[in-house]
Amino acid sequence: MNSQSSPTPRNFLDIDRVTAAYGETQVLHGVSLDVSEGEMHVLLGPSGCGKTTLLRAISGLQPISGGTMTLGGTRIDDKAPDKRGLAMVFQHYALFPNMSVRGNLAFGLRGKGLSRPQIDERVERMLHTVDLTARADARPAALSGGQRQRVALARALVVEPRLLLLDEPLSALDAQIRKRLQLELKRLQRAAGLTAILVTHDQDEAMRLGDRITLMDAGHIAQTSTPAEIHARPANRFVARFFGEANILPADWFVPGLGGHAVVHPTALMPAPDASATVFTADVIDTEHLGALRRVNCRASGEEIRFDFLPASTPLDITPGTRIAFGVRGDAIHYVDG
Amino acid sequence: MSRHLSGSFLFLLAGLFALPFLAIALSAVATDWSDALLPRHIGLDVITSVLGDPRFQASVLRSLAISFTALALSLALIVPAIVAAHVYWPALDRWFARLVVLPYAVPAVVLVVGYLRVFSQPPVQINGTPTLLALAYVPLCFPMLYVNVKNALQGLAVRDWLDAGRLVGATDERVLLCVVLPMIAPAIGLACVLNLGILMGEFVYANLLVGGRFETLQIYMFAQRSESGSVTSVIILAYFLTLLLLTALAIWLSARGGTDKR
Repeated sequence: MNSQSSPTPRNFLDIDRVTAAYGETQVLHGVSLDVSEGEMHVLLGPSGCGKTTLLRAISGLQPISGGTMTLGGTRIDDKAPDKRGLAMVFQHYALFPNMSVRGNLAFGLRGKGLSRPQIDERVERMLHTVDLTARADARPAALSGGQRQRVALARALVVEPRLLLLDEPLSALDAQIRKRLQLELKRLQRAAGLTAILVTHDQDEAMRLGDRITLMDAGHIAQTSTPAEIHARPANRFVARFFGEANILPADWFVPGLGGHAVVHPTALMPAPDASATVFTADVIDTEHLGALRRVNCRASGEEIRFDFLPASTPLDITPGTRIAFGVRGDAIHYVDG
Repeated sequence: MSRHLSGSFLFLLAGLFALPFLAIALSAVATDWSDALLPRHIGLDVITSVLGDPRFQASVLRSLAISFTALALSLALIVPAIVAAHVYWPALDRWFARLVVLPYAVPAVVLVVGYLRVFSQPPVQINGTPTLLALAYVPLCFPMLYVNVKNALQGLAVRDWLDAGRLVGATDERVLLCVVLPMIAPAIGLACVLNLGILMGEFVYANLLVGGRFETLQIYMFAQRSESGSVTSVIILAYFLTLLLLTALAIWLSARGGTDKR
């Protein structure tokens, strides 16, 4: 089930056969995962797949029932959350509303044996990094969603963690701010050389931010790979379905007699120029606009087919009821079992 | 037209409600009011004499002392319990909600008779003492405290704050004290003000449990009913004004609590 690819430079976080349960319900089924130093690793999956549980298990906020975890060579699964050397940004930020931005940042530094000037210096430096110096005395309620997200990030970074955990940190923001903050987050992570694990259910966000992506399914790891690899070469039908709304078609449409399925992305299909290039024909059901792309939904031999094209460069006159002959480049087909 | 009508109706209603208050206020300042619709002479003589009466002052102080003692005890008992149930044992919460309304569900006389029987013999023989009155008042404060604190907690991300604290080595107690308590403080304040209003005006418990041995404001008011009407009016007026002040404070606290969440 778990297919790891591309050798990592150095395993920084090593998760080995971790299991976790909520009461009688097993949520993680022996999950194993390696995260390299300086990597932005994305945990992706549908709701309830166990990605947040895994993140909380790494943080120590969720007890595990089996397996081990090491960070930088030191075992951490037997340590208290604050002794693991990590920080977390919560989905709804979890900022302390009765404290100013500065107070929120300083809270985690108190009790760490730092002097008052040292705390002030680190807080000011972090406020400058996230560009919130001017709002240092504001309460969270007076900040915009984007600013609160930056405070949450700054509060996590100010303790100088070895590993940063991000639990859907951008999910509460609107699309515009979200895209801008995705870039900012990536820039900050790269600049600081931080190792980070980000949980999201948004595949676009995963593709944009992740150096590697782990796709989870019902407490198991379905695949861990780079964004390009996981998109082009999904390990199974679940992964293929999750990414890019790929067409999953019987493999023997392309190679007679071959069992299993062929994964063909909607952009990999093209109208066949002649009969010899035709792989299959399909009837158009309807069309829809996807920004610059146009999607054509078709049906062929009981299978639903999605075909995307760029009207600006490929002018096609397609209307419902039309029959289209499709061809596919051989290298655009990926075969999966089952 | 209908707006004018409803406005007039509201004014009429307000006037009707204000009438007894105005009559009491007038009676409090009347020095001669016997054979006319309005007093012939008014003055502050009765007010100054009642307010200067050591017995009145002592009864106010006793009521305040008993009320604050009961409030302090109930705060110490119930607020940590409400927070703990909300955060750590949510399954117990619905039982909590049912238990705290018991003092309202059981008639006061029944409770008092029970208290008198229990505390009339050793090991805890405190019948007729202010301690018993203060202790009997403690459960009376629970419903108001529960409703206000629980409502305040429901709008807060307490579990996330505790998690955020645990990750930086802050104990739950520190997060509860430094973050959660300040956030629910307006709700606690509001409940305290409302409870204070109830306890200051409480008569049944005070009369049956301590009576004249520990004269609270309400017992004093009851004892003064046979004196001149003006004296009774002054006492009632003072009580009304105190309640008005407490209500204004409650409204202010409730508005303050509503504007500063998350």
